[in-house]
Amino acid sequence: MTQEEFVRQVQANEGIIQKICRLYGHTQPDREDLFQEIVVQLWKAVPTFRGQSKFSTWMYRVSLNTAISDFRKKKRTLPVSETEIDSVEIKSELSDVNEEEKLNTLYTAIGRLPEIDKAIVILYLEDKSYEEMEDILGINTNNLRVKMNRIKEKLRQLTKNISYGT
Amino acid sequence: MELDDMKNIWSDKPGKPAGAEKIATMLGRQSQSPIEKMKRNLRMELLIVIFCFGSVAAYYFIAFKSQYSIIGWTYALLLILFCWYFFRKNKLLNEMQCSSCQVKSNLELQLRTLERYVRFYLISGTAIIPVLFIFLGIVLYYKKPSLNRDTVFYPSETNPVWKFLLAWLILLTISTMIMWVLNRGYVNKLYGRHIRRLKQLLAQMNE
Repeated sequence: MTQEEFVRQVQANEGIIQKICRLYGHTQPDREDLFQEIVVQLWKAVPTFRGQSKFSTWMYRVSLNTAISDFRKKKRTLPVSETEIDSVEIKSELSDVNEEEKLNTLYTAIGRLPEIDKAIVILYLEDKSYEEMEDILGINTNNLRVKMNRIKEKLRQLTKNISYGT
Repeated sequence: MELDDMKNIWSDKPGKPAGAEKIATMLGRQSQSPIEKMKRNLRMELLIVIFCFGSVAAYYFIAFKSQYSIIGWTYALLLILFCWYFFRKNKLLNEMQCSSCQVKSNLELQLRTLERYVRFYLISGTAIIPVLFIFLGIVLYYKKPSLNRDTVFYPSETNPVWKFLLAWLILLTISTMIMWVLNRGYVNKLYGRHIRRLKQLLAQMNE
């Protein structure tokens, strides 16, 4: 794969990386650093992409491995509530304010989940089948279904608490 | 809020696109991952060791009309041992990550390799003590087979061989044990958090 092809593929699938950065990076500088790190790791891992799986599947694996293994001490800026950060980022993308608020709440709630649960939810919301999720994460489909039910219940509670400001 | 109802809204991108030029610029930058940083630090340490040990070895070969060339050879041998040590550590670091593997396999690989790396660091960092003792002993006794005064650390008429060997053995054992404890504390400080974190992540996957 040439550099131009790679850049085109990354641009076509940039949403994946942005969502992962959004959920695994706690501040804007962290997200920018993580975005760059994921791109660098993807480029380094290009020789391992042999076309046996979809490019997006391969990209999920590299991106999630990079985000989950990122053990650096996070940069901290002045404390800003997560809801304020969400609003600044999401506002321009959605016209429906109600949808915007729901998405902000969802991002905040997912952000409070453990690292592995975040990965499962991202893949679920990206409409990946349980077989594809197993291919990316290495967790078997039965275990994934059980986890997903628990995560849905957790998110219901979290979104309720966030809406009530707790 | 039901998760399934959020799938349509979720598909919108959460931020501004980075642009082809910005992405292309990123490709030329160094990785800031912990493993890449460790590799860079290791390369720097190796260069410093080569420079320091190489300089000292060269000095003892050239100066004093090669009278102390044995010290030069000692440093040259230690340099070879250090090179092997760095090569082994670098090999372990190269094996530590497989970013295109499944997430669970990658975490298991990282944990397994990091534990091997820590074990190697601990054992070699402690073994350096007896190795240095032996080298020091060889050089010392070669250059000065006897002293003008009595000491338990040198063989003499009043100090039999078994006594001086026992004295060195005790000193060696105490030094090695102290080094082991210090190394364990240091290694735990450097890598303990990472190992615990990896175990935690794997536990989340297996729950």
